[in-house]
Amino acid sequence: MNRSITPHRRLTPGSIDRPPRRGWRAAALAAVCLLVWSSTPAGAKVRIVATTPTIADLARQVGGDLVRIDTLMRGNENPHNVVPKPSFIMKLRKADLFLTGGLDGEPWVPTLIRGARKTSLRPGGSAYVDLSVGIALKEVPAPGQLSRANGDIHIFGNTHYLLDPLNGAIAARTIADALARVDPAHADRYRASADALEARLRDLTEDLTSQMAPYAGAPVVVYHRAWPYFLDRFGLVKAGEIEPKPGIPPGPRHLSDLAQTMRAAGARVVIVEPYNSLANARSVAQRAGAVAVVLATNVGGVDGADTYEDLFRVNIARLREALEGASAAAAKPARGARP
Amino acid sequence: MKTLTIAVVAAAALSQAPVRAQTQTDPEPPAQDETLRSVLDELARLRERVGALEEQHDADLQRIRQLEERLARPSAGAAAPSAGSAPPASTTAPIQTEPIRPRTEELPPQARLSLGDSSLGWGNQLNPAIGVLFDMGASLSSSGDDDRNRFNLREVELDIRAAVAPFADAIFITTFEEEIENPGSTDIQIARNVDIEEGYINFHSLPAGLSLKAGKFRNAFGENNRLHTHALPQVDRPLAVQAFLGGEGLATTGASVSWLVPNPLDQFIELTAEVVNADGGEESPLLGGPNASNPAVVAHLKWFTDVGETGSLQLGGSYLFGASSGAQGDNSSLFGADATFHWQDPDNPDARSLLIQGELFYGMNDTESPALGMLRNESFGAYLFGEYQFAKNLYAGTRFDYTEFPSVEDRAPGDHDLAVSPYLSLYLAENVRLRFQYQQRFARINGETTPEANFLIGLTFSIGAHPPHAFGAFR
Repeated sequence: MNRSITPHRRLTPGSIDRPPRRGWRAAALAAVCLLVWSSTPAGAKVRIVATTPTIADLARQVGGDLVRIDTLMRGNENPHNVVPKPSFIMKLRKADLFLTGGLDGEPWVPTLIRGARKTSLRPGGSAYVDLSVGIALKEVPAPGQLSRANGDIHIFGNTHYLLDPLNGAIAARTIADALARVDPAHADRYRASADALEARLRDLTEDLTSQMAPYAGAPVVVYHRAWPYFLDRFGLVKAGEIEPKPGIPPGPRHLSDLAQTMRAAGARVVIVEPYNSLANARSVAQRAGAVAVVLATNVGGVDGADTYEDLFRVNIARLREALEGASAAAAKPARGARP
Repeated sequence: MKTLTIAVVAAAALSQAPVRAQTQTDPEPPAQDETLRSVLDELARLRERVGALEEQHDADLQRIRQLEERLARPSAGAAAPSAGSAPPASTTAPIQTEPIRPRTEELPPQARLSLGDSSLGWGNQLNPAIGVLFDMGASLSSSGDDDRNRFNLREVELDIRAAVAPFADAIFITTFEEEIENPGSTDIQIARNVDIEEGYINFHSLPAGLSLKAGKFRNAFGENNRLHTHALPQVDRPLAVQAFLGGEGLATTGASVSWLVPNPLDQFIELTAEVVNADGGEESPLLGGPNASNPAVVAHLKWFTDVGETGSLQLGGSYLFGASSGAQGDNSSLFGADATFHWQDPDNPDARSLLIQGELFYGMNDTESPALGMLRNESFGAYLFGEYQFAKNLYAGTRFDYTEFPSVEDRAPGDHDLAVSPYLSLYLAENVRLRFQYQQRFARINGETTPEANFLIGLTFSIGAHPPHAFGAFR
């Protein structure tokens, strides 16, 4: 683990000759106290900076009380459009590990990495941890599809992979390996925590999948292309998108066409992310006789999604409610939610 | 190779056969004819065998050439083998027995293409990220000036950037600009210029929170000056920035050191000091000119702090000093102060935000007036704008401008420029922005105030690599 060392002034020959004054003694004592205080077990925690609350929660579950975590974005923010504040840079500079979703899903991260001025925080550096490693990405564009004519597409594949709980287990293992590297004394504990989390996530997935079994193959419409991992895991089928292309605002013609498509496909639910327009989603849903439901894309994105597991429990509960037709409560926006 | 081996064995057998025959002939002469016949028969069989192998070898070579030609055609790989071609299994052995060739010849044609001509280096994979950013629009003005009533391709930026080494990055931005020369005259001309906007190496990870830039870069004076034209919040630059730092802001060649100042509260405090050529800001009246003396000095201190859950405040102070080599000692000093407040709605951060930014400029420079001789000119300028985000892709704001003129060559005391500019920004996509700006301007020139109404349309978009989102270049 990296530890910060407080720099101190060098004594000059002249200063050695003079006897120290009482004021200096007091200052020295205070400095020693400060040093001792900063070396207490609380200061010995591995300092983690996570880009998203979801990643932060995975790190919390793996690291427990051995880690201290700072989260950069909020749960209801669009991960593609976060303002890279200079205060983030100061957090990053103190990080033993920087956990990021990697790929090109967080275009504000390179500014922070550059601003932090540490090679260890750069891709390939000792503190940089890319959680997309080991994930089987979906929607990887073929070379011919790599064009802005297809909207604001992700060049490596869909970046919302943590919306499959089993991918969360892979990410947890990546976090455990990184923690074991910087804090080898607790390596076994980190890996045991990751194993336990994986077991919980498998049980959760099994439970939620069985809850969704009655709706297997149900067509749904999504606002943004954020849901392929989630839909595939829980057996739903995407019937359309409110954004005509990723990142492109919908026009009236597209919304009208989409409503027709929904009716033809029998889609009864429109999934909207907390940061996208619920009004657009409701407009389409009403025209198609469906309901709009806000689902969390990150921990803290909607009320009750306080942990990684809760995110799926809440999302599935809202989705089932919407699919069952009790739509009013489910379509209520979750604005006001806090990470 | 197999054919060659057989041929060599046959030749060896032939060369040894007479010797053995001779050895055997001496003790037993009656058997000589019979032995000779058997050897000759063997020789004939070997000749036939060698001939068959040569034919096989030629056929194999022919097949190899055909297959290589098919591989060289991109579409051939997917095509089914023709009836007359050899099955893949029969081609494997001859290819494996080929002599060792350069690695590139064993790779599929796509890989060969990416490696390129090795005599010129190895391939395109290390090429930098390349993006092109367009800034164009149209303006309509009550002034009737030709340069204000026209469509314009204001600037096209070619942005090239890559890592140089583990400790340094390089950025090269060249601009292609269209400018109107001699507006308002009968000799109006369109100049198309190519310029280096920025070209520098950035040693990004020096110890103690330091970084060092060397080359040409936008100078760290205030906030607006750091922005490229396509990233401006409004269609045009604030009038004070234009008056004090030049129409496109100040970008000069030199070195810049930036330091993240350690502090017990872990606040972001950044001190930047630059030593640059004074002749770089040819459009700024504060730098350049015949008496400019290198170097000029720029310093900037920035403090950033979070305000509440989703707000932030940034304060900065700037200083620029340009010395003169002239006998009159016509030095230039410019002081600046900037403040930026940004807030996002905690419940809807992607679609509701507020940005307020202002800067003050106070310049002192010696200029020569034809009528009054050397004058110590003190001038003041400022801008303030507020911008509110109404929807995910819609922003509206107003900017207030006031500036005096640091150059008095064609100005009378008390001359100034004043403007109010409401504007609207609409994002059609992440990288496509359309802006509409109305500007009511009251410029007092030579003691006479002339109202002027301008309508500006700006369209910015980019292609190619997506530069990282930066703080300060708000949407």
